[in-house]
Amino acid sequence: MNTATLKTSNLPLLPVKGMVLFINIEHPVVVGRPRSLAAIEEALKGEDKSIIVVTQRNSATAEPGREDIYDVGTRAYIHRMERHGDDVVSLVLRGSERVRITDIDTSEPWLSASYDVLPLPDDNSDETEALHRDVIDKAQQLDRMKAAEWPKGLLTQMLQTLKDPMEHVYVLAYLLKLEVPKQQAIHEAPTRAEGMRLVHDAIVHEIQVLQLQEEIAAQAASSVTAEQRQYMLRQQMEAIQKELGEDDGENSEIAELKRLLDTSEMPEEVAKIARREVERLQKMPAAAQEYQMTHGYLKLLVELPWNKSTQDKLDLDEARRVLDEQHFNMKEVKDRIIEHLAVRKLNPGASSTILCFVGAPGVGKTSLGASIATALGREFERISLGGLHDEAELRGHRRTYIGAMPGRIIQTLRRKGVNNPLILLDEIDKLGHDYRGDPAAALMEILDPSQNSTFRDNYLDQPFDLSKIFFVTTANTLDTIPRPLLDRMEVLRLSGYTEEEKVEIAKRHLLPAQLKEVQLTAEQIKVPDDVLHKVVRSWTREAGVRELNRQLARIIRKSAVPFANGVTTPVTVTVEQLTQLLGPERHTDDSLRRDPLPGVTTGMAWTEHGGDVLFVEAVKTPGGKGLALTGQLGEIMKESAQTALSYLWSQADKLGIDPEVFQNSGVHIHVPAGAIPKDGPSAGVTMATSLVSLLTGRPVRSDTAMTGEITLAGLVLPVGGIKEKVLAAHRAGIDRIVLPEANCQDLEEIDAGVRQELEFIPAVNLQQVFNAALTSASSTGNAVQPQLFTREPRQPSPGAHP
Amino acid sequence: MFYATSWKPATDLFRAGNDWLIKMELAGVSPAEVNVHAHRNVLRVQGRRRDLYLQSGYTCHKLEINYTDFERSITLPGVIDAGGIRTEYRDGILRIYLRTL
Repeated sequence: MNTATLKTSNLPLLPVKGMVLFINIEHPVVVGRPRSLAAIEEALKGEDKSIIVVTQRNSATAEPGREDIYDVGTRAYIHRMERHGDDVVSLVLRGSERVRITDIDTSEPWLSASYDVLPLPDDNSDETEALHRDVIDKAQQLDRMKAAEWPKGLLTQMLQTLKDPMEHVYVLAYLLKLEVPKQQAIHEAPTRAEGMRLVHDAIVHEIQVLQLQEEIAAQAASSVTAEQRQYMLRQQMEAIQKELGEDDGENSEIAELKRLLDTSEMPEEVAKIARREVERLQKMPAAAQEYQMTHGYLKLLVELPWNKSTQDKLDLDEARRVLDEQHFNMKEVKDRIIEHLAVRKLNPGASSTILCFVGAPGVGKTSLGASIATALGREFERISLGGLHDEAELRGHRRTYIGAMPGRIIQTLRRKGVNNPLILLDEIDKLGHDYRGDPAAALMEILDPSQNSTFRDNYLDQPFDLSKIFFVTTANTLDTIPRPLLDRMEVLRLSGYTEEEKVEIAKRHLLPAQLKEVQLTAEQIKVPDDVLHKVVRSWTREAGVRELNRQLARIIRKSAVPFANGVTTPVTVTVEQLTQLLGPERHTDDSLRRDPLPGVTTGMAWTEHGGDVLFVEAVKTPGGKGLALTGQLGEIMKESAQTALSYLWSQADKLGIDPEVFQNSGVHIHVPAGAIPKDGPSAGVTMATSLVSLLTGRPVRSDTAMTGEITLAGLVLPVGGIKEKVLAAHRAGIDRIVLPEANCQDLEEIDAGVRQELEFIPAVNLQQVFNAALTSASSTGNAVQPQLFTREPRQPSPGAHP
Repeated sequence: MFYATSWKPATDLFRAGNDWLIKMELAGVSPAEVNVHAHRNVLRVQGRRRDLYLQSGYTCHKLEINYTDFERSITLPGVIDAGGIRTEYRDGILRIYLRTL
């Protein structure tokens, strides 16, 4: 500044209120106080119209003295001046220099000040530089935010024109309209560093305030508009729905749901959720996917039988009558059902037991389930678990999935409309499992009486009481049922039927059903008992009655042909016609080997399809060594063959075997049929007998079958599946059965008729077995060829357990 | 504008080839206090006006004339021949004759 060195000691003083005049800033002032007017008068007498402007500390002070004004003021030029009347003058002042007031003279009508000029600060530091740059950045930001208030780009342009950092500071301090003390502090700042820091603080503060202000304004605006928008949209939606004719549909659907909700007996917690969902539903357009989903869910909630049950029929005599009517025999199972009813009668709150029927196919497990339901007067539903490998099938999918559905159990309850049906879980031994989860785990929860009162279906997402359901499961074998699952069930074995039983079943159930199929009566097609016996014996070999049913169906079908051609004379099926109707006999009684070679023994096996007889053949292999085993034998069976051979060796002299045999030749044991895998210890006696027969040359009686595990000491240990084995042997025409003595109690289960036709020889040790089975006559073994037996060609089936 | 370091006199500009005539309204300015300076193609005129015609007994009712420092810079299309600048002050107008190269 060209006047910087000038040191005017004295100039008129103008105290101002509410403002600070910065250097190079032009600012209007209105003056009315007499002393101020006098000061201006005096200043205008000067050749450059300069005056000292200083800010009052307190704008209320009317006649400020030395103490009432700040120390640092501004030397200013009066740029414009205009008088309005006598005592008001408006001015435009332009700041020129900062001055420090040293003294005030009050002797004149105006105040006059002695002052020192303060030079513009020119200190430099990195910090100031950094602050300065940030201030410029912020100023540009501020420029954008204040676009409505300031001419466009005012500040940016200004900061570009000006060079001195302090000029920036003063311009900003002026434009930010800070409070007077802050403005004064900036004005007084002795260094750039301080000035810059103060203005930086101010500008940051200003930006924050502006942002906050914008937010508040935006919030206020949006809260109003959101409500208005919703209202408008709703109005539009109503109009659209009216146009589309959906209006009534939606309302009546929801009204229906509400009505059902009120009448439903669901628990209060569930009802609460249901009501909430209905409210949600009302706000949705009917076309939304969410609407369909929620509607489906609510439909399920109101339709589920939360508290609806059928009354159990607890008449024990009536129940027994129903069971007897629909199923022949099965005493054990029927007794168990009656017991169950008795318990229910005494204690209606007793938890349901879970029954598991195990037995060969076709023995009537599934239909028995239906009969129980009838006897109890409960609803019946069958769920097949065979091949089920997705846990969600039982437990449902979460509602978040598209197309989600409740699990089978909940679906069943909804369909049946009661919470205590009898549910038959069929083929529980054929459950699968894969990466989608293990359905057995879900079943465990469903079948556990202590857990299933709060069963939680994924879709339903609310606990539902399954404990009133009567669960019955069926299986062909227990081996593949997971142990923990098996533990929760009471196992009832349904063994195969005898010939007599099958004939009875055919007469009572199968034939009437088949006749009904062709709409003929028992008078029109007569099937006598002897025909049935022949069919059972020669065309079927099974534990159940499925094959029998098929054969009977063929007989009835073929016999019905003449009726279709208009013939009306009754027909009686005879035994002689059977070959013509059914083809050649499949199974013959002489399937046994008559006059067999030494080394061939009849054994008995238990299979999943019931029992069967099997043969063990042994030959010497001269020059060979040791024991060769063929016929798909498992480890246990191989070991029992080895045990048998070792036992014989050890007892060679007692049994009359030439010990040389063991050194000169090997032994080969084969168990047909070669394609069927076999395992288990119960062929031990059979193999031992075969070997003895072979090595002593005494043939085994062909009318005798045997079973039993052996030890090296020659003991005969008990085995399982006696009933099935005996029945199979009986079917095959065996007369005598050698069995472990410990198994004799199992014979109780067998029908008395069968028992009477057979001779049972209990054995404790192998010697007793040999005595019973071997003929005394020695045979050379090559005189008679063994008569081949006809046997139904069979596919390999999984696992036979001799 | 609220920001100013000095006032700017009104200026006319005339051209005759490379010869230029610049007129500035500088009434009441003592020529001794006007400084004309050329640097390359910019002509800068600065100075100071003082109110030297004060009459005692009168009070000011309106003030429109700018006193104190003034400054005006004029950018020309060619470099100014600094040695050939001639100034003339008459009737309150400052005339500056110059040539551009």
